[in-house]
Amino acid sequence: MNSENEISLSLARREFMKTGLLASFSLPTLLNYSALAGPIPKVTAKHKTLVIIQLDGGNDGLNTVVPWGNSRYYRARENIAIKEADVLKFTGVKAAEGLGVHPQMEYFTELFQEGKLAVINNVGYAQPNRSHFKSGAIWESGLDGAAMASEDQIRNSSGWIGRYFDKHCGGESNLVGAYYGDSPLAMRGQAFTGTSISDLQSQPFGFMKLGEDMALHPAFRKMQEAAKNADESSGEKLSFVRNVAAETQTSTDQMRKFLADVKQRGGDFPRTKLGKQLGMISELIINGGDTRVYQARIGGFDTHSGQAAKHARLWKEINDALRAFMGRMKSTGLDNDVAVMTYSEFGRQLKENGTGGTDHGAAAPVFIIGGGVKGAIYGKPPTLKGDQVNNYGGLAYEIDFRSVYKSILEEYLKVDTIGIISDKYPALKLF
Amino acid sequence: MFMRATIEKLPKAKWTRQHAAHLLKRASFSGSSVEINECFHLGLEASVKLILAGRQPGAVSSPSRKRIDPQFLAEIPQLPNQKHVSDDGMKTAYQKHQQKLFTLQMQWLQRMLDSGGPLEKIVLFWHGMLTSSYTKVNSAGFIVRQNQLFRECAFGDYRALVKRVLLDPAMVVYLDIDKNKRTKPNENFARELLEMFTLGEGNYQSALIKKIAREIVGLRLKRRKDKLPYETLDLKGMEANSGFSDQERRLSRLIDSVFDLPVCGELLVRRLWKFYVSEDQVDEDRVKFLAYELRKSGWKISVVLEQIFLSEAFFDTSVISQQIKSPVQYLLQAHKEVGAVTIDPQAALYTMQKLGQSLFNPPNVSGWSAGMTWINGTTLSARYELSKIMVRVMGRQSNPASKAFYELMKKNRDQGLLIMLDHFIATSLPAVKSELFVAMAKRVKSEEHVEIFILYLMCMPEYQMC
Repeated sequence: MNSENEISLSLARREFMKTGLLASFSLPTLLNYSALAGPIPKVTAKHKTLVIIQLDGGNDGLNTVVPWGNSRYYRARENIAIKEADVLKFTGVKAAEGLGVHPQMEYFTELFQEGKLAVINNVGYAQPNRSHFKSGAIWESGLDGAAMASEDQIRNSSGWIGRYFDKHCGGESNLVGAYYGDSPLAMRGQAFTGTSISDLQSQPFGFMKLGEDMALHPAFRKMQEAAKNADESSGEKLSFVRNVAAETQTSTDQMRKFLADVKQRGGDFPRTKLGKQLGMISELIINGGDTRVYQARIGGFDTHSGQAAKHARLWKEINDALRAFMGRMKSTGLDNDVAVMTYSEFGRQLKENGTGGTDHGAAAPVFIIGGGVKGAIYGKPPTLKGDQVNNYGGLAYEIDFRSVYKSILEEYLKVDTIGIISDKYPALKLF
Repeated sequence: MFMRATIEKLPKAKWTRQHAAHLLKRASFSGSSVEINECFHLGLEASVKLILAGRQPGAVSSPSRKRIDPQFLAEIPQLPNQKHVSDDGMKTAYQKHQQKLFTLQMQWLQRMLDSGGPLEKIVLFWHGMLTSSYTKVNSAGFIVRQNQLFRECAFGDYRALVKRVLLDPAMVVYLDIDKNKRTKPNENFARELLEMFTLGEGNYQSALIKKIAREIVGLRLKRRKDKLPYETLDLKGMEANSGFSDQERRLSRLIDSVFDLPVCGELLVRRLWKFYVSEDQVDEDRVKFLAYELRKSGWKISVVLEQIFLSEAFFDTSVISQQIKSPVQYLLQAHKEVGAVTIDPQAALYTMQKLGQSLFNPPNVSGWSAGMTWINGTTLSARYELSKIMVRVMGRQSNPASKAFYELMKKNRDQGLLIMLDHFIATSLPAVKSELFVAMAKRVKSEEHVEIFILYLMCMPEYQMC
C-alpha cells in the first residue's frame, strides 16, 4: 500500500470511530461469542424480530395448502393437482380437515404438530390487481385505498414497515430494517429505508470495474466518508445531500463490517439462495443486531407453465432453509422472539391453464411461523364454489392482508398501529 | 408599495464564464463547453434574448422541429376495462400502456437534448405547474396535445395559457371537468384553478369556487372513433358560429376576473423563482415587483424571466450550484457531459422509474415537490446506478469525454484534472476530497481509468447540485 492510501485509510478510520458506528451491534457479545467453540450458548433477545420471506411472482396457494378434501380442486386441475396420496395432511385439528401441504413441505407439518405454524387462508384485498408490480406495491404499502391508487402514487408513498419504523424506532439507525435485493417499498418511511444485506464482497483498493457495486468499493467509501463534516460553508442543500450520502454509506458499511466478522460461522444451512439469506439473517439475529425486520426473497413463483417441477423445487428450498433457520433459533433460545411470515403478491387461478401451469389470481394463504404464534388454521379453507371465484378465476379474499400486518404489529411487536394500518382492518389475534 | 424593490441587474463587468455555465444549466439543461464559451462571448443580454426565443445560446443548429408521428399515436390503445379481459390480454394491455408512456417520455427527452433546451425547460415547468397525468388521462394523443400547447404558449401570455389548458382535453379528463353535474358541481376543478394555477392557497374565498364550479357544469368531451382522438375532440357547445360558446365565454370572463384580483401573478412568480432560481424563501417585495411587471406587460412570462435572468440575484453565490438536480436535469446534463447526442433508452428508463420523476406521470395535481425530496437513501443509490449506466453510454460514443480528458491529462495532468473537475462538478470540493482526487489522478494510466474517475465524480454529493 502506498502512502496516499494510508492517509486516506487512516482518515476513513478516524471518521468511522468518531461516529461510533458499531454501537448498535453489541461488540462484546460478538467477541465473546466468536471465542466460544463449544455448544451454542443461549441468547437473550433485546427485542422481537420479524423475518419476512417474500415469494416473488405469485405463489400458487392451492398447491401450497392443498384442499385435498374438495373435489372442485381436482376437477379444476386435472394435470397439476397434488394427488391426495401425496398430500402431507394436517391432522389433529378439526379446522384442518381436508387440508394439507405440498409433499415437499414436510417441515411445515412438523411445525403444525408443534403448534408453531399459523395458516391464514384466503388472504388478499378487494378489487385485486393482477400486475406483479402493482399488486406487490399494494401489499408493501399496506395503505387503505392503495388498490385504488396508481402504481406511481403507491410507489411514491410509504410502506407499512417504514411507518412502523417512523413511529416506534425514532432515533435509531437505518439498520432497524435489513433486506435482500432491491430497496423495498415496505421499509420506506419518512426517516427510514432499511439497509441492504445482499451478500457483498469488498474489493482491494484500486480502480474498480464497472460492474461492481460502488458503495462497496473502499476508495469510493473513503470519498464519501471524507465528505462528512467538511461542508461548513457549502449551503444547506449540499449539506443535506452529503448527510444522506454519508448515512447511506454508513449503514451499508456498518452492516458489511458486521457481516465480515460473523459470516464464517454458524448453522448448517443449505447452500441455496434462500438458505444463504436465512443463514446470514440468523447470524445477525443471534449476534444481537438492532434490526427489527428482515426481508428475504425467493423468486420464480410465476408458474405459467411447467408448474409441477418448479413449484416443488421452490417449496423444497423454503422447507429446508426454514428448518435450518428455526432449528438455529430454537437452539439459541430465540424461537419465541423471532417470527417468520411468508407472503406473495397474489395467488393463482383455480383452473390450470393449457401449459401445465396457472395464471395470475388473487387471494392465497399466508404462513406465520414461530415467535409465539398460536398455531392453527385461520379462516375457512377455500370452498372453490362459484361465488368464491372471481370473474377471471382468482380466489376472492376473506381476510385482508392488512389485518395480518396489524396482528403482527399489535400482538407480536406490541406497538400501537395508529397511522400505520387503517382502523378498518381489525387485528386477527394470531399471537 | 413595491416600487422600492426594483431588481438590480448584473453589471456587465461581472459577467464570467462560470455565469454563462450557470445560465445554461438553469435556463436550459446545461450546455457543451463550446456552447458555454459561445454564451460567454455573446454576453448576458444577447444570450437571454436567445433563451426567451427558445434557443440555446451558442447552439450550432436551430431548435428541433421533430413532431411525433401521428401513426404512432393511432396505435396507442386505451386501457381496456379490467373486468372483461383475459389474463393475457390484461398483461399485454398493461405492458403496451407502459411502453407507450415510455415512448412519449423518450421523445420528449430527446427534444430536451436537442438544441431547443430553453424551450423544453419551460415546457417542463408548465408540465409541473399545470400538470396532467397520462395514467389518469389515458390518451397519449391528449397528453401530446397538452405538451404541444405548453410549447406554443411557452414564454407567452400566462392568462391565455390558463384559459387554453383548462379547455384542452387532457385537463378536462384529468380534473374530471366533464363529470360535472348540475346537482353536484365539481368544486375540485375550481379549487385547482385557484390554488394551483392562479392565486395560491389562502388567496381566495369559497364563494368564488362555487361560482366557477357552476360555470363549468355541462362541459363534455366528444370522441369519435373513426379519427385520432386529439383531432376529433371538441367540447359540447363549441360548434357555435364564432367557435366559442356562451359557456366558454362565461368561463373566459370568470378567469379574467380571477386575473383581475391584485394577488394574481404572485403564485406564478414564486413558482418560476423556485424552478429557475432557488427553493429558499423568495423576497416578497421582489415577488410583488415581478408580479406587477407581469400584469403590466399583459401577462407575458418572458418579461418576468428576462428580469430574473438579468438580475444580480440570479448569479448570487447562494444560488449558483445550490439547486438539487431534478432527475430529468440529472439525466440531460449527464448526457451532455459525457458527449452523448441521443438519449440512451436504458438510462432514460432507469431515470423515469427509479429516480422519482416519471414524465407525464406526476404523483398528484401539484406536480413534483422537488428540492430535497429528490434525495433519500434509495434515490441516491439509484443515482449512483444511473451514473454507471452513463459511463457505459460514454464508452459507446465515437467521441467520448473520457478520451478528451485522457489526452488532456497526458499533456498536463494537473490542468487536465482541473478542467475535468470543473466539467462535472459545479461547486468547489472540500479540500480533503480534492486531495483524494489529486492522489487518484496520479494513478490514471488509461482511458478506462478516466472512465472510472468520472464515475467517482458523478457519485459525489457535489455532483447532485446544479
